[in-house]
Amino acid sequence: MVSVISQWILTLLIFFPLLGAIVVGLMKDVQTARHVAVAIAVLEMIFSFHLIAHFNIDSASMQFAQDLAWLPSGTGIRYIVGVDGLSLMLVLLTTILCPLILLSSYSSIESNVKSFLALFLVLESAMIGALVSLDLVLFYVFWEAMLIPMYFIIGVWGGKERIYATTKFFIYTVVGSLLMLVAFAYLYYLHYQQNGVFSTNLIELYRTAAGLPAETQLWLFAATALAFAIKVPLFPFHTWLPDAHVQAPTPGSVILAGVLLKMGTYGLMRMSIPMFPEAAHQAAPVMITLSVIGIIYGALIAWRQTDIKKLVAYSSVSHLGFVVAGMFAFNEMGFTGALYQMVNHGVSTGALFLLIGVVYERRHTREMSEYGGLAKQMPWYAFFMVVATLGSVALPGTGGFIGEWLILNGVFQVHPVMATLAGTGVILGAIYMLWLVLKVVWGPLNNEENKKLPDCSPRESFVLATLSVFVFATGFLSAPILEHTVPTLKKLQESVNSKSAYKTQLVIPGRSNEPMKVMMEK
Amino acid sequence: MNEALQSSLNLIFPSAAFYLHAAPILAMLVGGLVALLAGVFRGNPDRPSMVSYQIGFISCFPSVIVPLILLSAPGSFGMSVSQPPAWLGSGFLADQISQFTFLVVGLGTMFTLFMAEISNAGRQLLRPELVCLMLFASAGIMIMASAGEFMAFFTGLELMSIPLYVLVGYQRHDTRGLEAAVKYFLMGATASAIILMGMALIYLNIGTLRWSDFALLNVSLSNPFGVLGLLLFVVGLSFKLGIAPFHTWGPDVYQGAHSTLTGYMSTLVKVGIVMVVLRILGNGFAGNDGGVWLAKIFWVLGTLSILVGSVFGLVHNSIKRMLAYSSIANAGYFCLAFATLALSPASAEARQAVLAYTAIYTILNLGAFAILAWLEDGSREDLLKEELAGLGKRAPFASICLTIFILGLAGIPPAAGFFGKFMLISSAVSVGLIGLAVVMVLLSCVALFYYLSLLVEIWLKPATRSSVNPQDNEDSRDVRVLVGIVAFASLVVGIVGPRWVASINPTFARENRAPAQPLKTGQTNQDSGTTGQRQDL
Repeated sequence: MVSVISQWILTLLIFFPLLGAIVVGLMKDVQTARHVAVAIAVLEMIFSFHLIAHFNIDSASMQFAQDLAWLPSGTGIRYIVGVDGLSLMLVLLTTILCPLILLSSYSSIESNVKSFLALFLVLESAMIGALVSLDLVLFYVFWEAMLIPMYFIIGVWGGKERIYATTKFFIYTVVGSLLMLVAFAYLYYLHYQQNGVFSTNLIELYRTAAGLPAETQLWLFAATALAFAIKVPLFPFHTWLPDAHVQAPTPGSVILAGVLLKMGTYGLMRMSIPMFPEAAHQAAPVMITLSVIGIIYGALIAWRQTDIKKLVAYSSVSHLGFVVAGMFAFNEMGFTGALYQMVNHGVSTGALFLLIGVVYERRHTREMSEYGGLAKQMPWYAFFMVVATLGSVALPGTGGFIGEWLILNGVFQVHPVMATLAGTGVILGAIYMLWLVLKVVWGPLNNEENKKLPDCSPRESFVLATLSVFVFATGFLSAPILEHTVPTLKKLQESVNSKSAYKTQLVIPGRSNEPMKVMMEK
Repeated sequence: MNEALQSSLNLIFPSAAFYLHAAPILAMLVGGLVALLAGVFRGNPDRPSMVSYQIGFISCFPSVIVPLILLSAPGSFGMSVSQPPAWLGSGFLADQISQFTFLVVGLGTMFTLFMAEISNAGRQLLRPELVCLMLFASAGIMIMASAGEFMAFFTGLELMSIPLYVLVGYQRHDTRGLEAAVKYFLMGATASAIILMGMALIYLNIGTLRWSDFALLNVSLSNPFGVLGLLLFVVGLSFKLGIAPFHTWGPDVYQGAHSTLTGYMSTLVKVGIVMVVLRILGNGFAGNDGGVWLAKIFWVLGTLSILVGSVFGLVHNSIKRMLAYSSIANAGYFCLAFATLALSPASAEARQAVLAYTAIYTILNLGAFAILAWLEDGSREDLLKEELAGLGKRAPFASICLTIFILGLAGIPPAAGFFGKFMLISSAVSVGLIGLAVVMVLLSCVALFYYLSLLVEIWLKPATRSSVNPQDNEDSRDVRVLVGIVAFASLVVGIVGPRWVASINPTFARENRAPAQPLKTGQTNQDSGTTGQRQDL
């Protein structure tokens, strides 16, 4: 029984929200639809706990794998899904964030509610799909499919400049991903040339790609890394992000910061780096430099913002710079820190966007100067705000501290100067975040309008409290969490540094007994 | 009876299997005449005629049923699978590419007739001669696509073009339609003349009209007339396909014609021409640089097309003009496929990619124009982009379908267009056309701007006073069912991939004869059959 569940769990996780989207879309009553959507997301989260319960933490293989025919066999394009330590973390982040976001949408989305819920669930499907697919075409389909719901979420429920922002977001992303598609198509052909069969199986392509000459690798790396760098967004491809964040409705911003941006960093770690290790080494100085520029630039720009949402948006540019810098250090610390920081950023920035949403719904302004002294009027709000801020500035005891510490340590081993520069980003981060808290939460309660503001409702408090727990849980329970990722990241680090193919295999549950290994070697 | 007589009799009266394979064409031709006559004898020829419509509709059945039988049971009726037969010399190639084209054309014609029947404006158009013209044009497309040599091709081309000139100007009282018809006629006739001239020069060089003998053509600067002939031929076909810089008639003609007919024109006509190019390029230019030359030409044409189609489309407000530029941009993708074919003529992947892309493009465009025709029905012709504002609220189902078609044309999964483009790109990079593929995808991002601007109007903007407000009546329910089927089909293709193309055998049928020999100066090619002999100059 368990093995049957394990076999189908990922497919269930991908398609359950999609099914839910159809159900929600067909419902009559708006309020019921909201409850049903949350219920679906909660069920999805519970399903995803099956992954932790049965994940083999000693293995770097692709677990819970499923390999089914999709396109005609001659094309070699198959439906292959699986999770390893890398994707497991992000799948869980997604399934845990989604119900919280849907809860927050009770107050932030008031028009076209059913369409929003349906689109959001479709988005969840696509995100999970992109995270677990191990076939390039399948990945690409989900990757692009993420765009469409997000396009509408920003475009329909967004702010004044939403159409500009959403068009920019869409086109920026598509430019990158179409180049990635050409790279995939070329790789597809190269695999055929070398082996005589077509395949888009990522695990087989790792081997093909790693054996390519350095120049070819570099081109392919550039094409894929560009797509991911735009999504991250890495400086100088970040300009769509502030627009998208500021214009998006609160749930849109949260999912954008929480999960969608991680798709870029995930893609780099899953595809660009292990596929083209030689090229990754050549490109590492550039990537690290760009991310350090992003860290400092993002932080400086964030400091100067008067719009709260813009401030947090630029802080994302800065934080994700750390993630990219960490992974291009190519040591275990860097990789671990990068992965951990992806999760932390999702939690703390997600919480910050939710907090902004809370006051925005009450005051309909995001100008910092309009606020001040909220702690007197909204003590719980102030509490959650401070917790999220501490998570964001990487206070010891929060997950952010562990993530950034690992990253800086990792980078320091290879590029001490860059690490030092990146370190200033931490200080700047503390400055602008504390500045934000100072302006919004502390200080005198001057503005008359703020004196009537009600504190967080029980629903808001529940969402924010859950995220606050995660802020500290990631800090104190880092060992059991990171345990899951160790074998995967170790293997990643070994294969990158030896510039050899990243070897992994599908473990199809129930297919054979321990050590449940189905080698993909021919 | 002597053998020569027997063989020429065989040529004139082919075997029964020929009539089965050619049934789609014959049914369309006969159906067209019957529809015309029925309209004359039954009622007023100036009035829409349901009888003609029904006859026309039924005449399309063979072109759906016969290919379905032949494609699903290859090798039935004792036909060879590996070497499909040819009849009338090389005039009719009974291979699976032909059958596939028949199927697409048959379904497309049925769809167009049905769409015309269920809209008010369309019903007014359904006079007997419209049915007749449309069936003739479809027959022309089929003849062209199944032709293995120039004469049959040219017959088909003219049989298709002349009815189309009339169809474009079919709304006699609409000056814009008339202008478009005149433009189309002048351009089209010029293109036909250019094709003829090109073929004449090629014939001068190789002394045969068969595509399969084009390999004999010496394409190099030492043979200027051969190069010129090939160039003229390509230019003429580019005119017909709307490839930039020979695209200028496209937007005007699309705008002038009734949307139902525009849908027909922008899709099925291209299907026919694409198959012709596929057959010519697929035979290859063995032993010389013809393929490389042609690949370079298509490189330039493709880049220009995608550039023109993507950039010029940005400035237009008329949806039909926008879709016209979108089809120019898509013609760029066809060029990518042609360049691939020119470099690797025998590649089955490349041929299947062309078939898949053609079919998918047809589905998407027909669907988009059908919705447009339906929207125009309630208000006025030639809708502007702004008039779609708030459509998502007013007609959610039509808007969802239109969104699927637009995303498909833009190549975003999970709509159907993605796999078409993926197959094209992967076959193109496999012959080293990486640069062209990159140009294509980058410029199609520019085209995304206007595709997205349509979505913005439909979904993101509130309705204004000038917005279309499609009425909800019995007709619109029929439209919804029909368009819904098309949209669903394109989603299914987008999700499970174009599986059917893998089962299509893209081998060309060949005439059973000894291959022609290269011409020496002053020598004639002894060539029996439809082509005749070259006169010495």
